[in-house]
Amino acid sequence: MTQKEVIEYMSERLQKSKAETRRILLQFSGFITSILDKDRSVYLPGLGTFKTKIRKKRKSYHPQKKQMMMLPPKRVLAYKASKPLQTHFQEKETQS
Amino acid sequence: MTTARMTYSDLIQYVSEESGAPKSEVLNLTKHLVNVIRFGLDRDGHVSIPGLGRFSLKWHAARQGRNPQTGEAIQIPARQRVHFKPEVKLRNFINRKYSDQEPKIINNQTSNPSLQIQETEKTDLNEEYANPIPMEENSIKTKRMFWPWLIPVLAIIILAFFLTPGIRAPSSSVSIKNNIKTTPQSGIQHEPANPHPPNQLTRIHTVKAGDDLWALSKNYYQNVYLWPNIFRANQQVLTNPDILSNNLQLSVPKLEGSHDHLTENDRENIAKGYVMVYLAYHHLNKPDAYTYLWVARETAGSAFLDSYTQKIDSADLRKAGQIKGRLQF
Repeated sequence: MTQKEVIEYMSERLQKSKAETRRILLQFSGFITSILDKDRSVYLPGLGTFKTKIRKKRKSYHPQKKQMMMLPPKRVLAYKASKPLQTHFQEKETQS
Repeated sequence: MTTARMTYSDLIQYVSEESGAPKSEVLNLTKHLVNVIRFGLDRDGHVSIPGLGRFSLKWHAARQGRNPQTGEAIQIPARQRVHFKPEVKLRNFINRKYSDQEPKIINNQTSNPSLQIQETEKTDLNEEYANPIPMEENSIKTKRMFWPWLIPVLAIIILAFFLTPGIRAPSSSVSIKNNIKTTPQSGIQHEPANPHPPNQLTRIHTVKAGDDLWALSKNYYQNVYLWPNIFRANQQVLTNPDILSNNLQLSVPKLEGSHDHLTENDRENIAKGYVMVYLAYHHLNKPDAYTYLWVARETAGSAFLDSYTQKIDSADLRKAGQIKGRLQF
């Protein structure tokens, strides 16, 4: 499902124009981002938890340079699906 | 968990306050947002949300896992998992603190702390290597301090062993018995076996395939012509100097001098060896056995053979005396 399809779907449900829906979605994403940036995790029922993690620096082999590289630490977004969502797809898999 | 969790109601409250929209509208939005994600995953297996990223289903094959508490093996079945990949913008925004850091090549970075640690470890090792050397020197010194004590003590023991007639007599009698058994008609042979020179250090050589006295002499004395000295020292185990049996333990006596500077005792011993070789060859009816008498005479002087006149065949002695050549060791 592309962004376009998502906006179409949402605009129907929210009874708003596609442009307005898009603006609302981006705004909402912005709020979630700002919360995450404050090192707080966000939980959406039926979807899951978002949070940020810091990956430590690590050594890794660069296969083209053929050298060991020290990769810098990194702050990443982590997502864990909620249990109902996860089991939904696992059950779907076992049914098919 | 270090990150404080924001609950759903907190989120609604926050978004409502920030955007100015009523809570009901925010609730409606999140409800439909979750629905669209679920719908999209169900239909296509992936959903892209503007401003957030892409949710997708990822196939995980069955694998063997372990209960981290009990260590018990667990079979984890094949399954699909919901995976989320944030948009590039969002990823960069979250990582903006560390965005200026880039991967570094470790080998060229001498200022790398891990490398510095390795270097210091190396120097530490070197110092550790350097330390045992003086310790060894100390142990050598202590050994050296023992040596002057050991030498006379050993010499006395050896001297006592060889010079005490009570100890020496049985061994010679044994050799006599052996010789009588093997060579009944020649009672002469046992006699030269007795005069083992005292205080001579000997080495033990175990005979291997291909060894002969000639080669052993070259190995130990750097002179092949000194081989009768080995034969002399092993009279009790050797009857024929040309035949050595495998794994035989031969004692190789050390020379007092060296192969090119023989002492008087060395010469006497070697001459005795040559006499013994003569006796052995004479017993084996070797026609040129008498030449060994000549070598013995040349080695230790003409007076040397006089003490053996009883054991030496007079004809051979005469023949040896007729050899005009000179021999120099």
